Amino acid sequence: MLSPATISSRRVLIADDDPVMRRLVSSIVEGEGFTAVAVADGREAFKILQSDSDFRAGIFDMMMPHLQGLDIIRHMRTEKRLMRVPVILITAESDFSLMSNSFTAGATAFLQKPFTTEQLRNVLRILPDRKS
Amino acid sequence: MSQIQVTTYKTQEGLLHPKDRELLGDAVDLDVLHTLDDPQNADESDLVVELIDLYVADASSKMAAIQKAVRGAEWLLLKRVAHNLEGSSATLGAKQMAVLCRDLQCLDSAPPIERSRTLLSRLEVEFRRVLIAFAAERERRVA
Repeated sequence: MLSPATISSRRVLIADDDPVMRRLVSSIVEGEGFTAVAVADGREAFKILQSDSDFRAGIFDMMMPHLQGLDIIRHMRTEKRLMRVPVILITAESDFSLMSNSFTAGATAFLQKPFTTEQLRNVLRILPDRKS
Repeated sequence: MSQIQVTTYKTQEGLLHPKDRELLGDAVDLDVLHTLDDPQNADESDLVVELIDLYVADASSKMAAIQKAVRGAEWLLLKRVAHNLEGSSATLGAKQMAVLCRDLQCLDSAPPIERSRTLLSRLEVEFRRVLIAFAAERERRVA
């Protein structure tokens, strides 16, 4: 297992059940020089995170089959090796309480659909370094 | 109710006639679509074409699922699929499509059947408009 304390990863884990969003987010992430590791639902993301913590960030859709974005974040925040991996949550909802719940659960940023390439790129650029 | 046939709505003779383009009006807000063009990426139009192709394939199966959910009064399934379709529609500039998906999600747990059918009919008409608009945009980009 890779040690999070010694690695400044260039990989970003993306979980979204919508193929359009998955492709778009992957493209933006790769355009910023990261390697996109994209999966189609929360359960797949959870499975990867069980043995791999070498991620610069996670970008999860809020509403996915099997396991939702918020559930993954809650799990990550209880695991020492994943605790400091920044997570961006994406949703079509505009509900402020949902946004508040996301931050309470440990989300680093919240992006509402539809978003522009520039908006996600800006969020990626200001992500805190997990080592800091 | 028949399943949406994507191929039916592809333009047969190249780009749309300006009159048809006017008829399609706001089916797809091209300004939104253009924000997805990445000036840092030399293959900028390829990404949008790829996104359109992914959307057409995925939205077609979601439309079929929505039709099935309305017919079978499966409201939870309807809300989940409509939510999903709303996100990608809004992202690609299919604004009215996104609004109709939102309306479907706002239906009560046991809505009057006429209300859900009316919304579905409007969504089907809008989806056809969106497919034609995307087909025209796709042709313009690959030309």
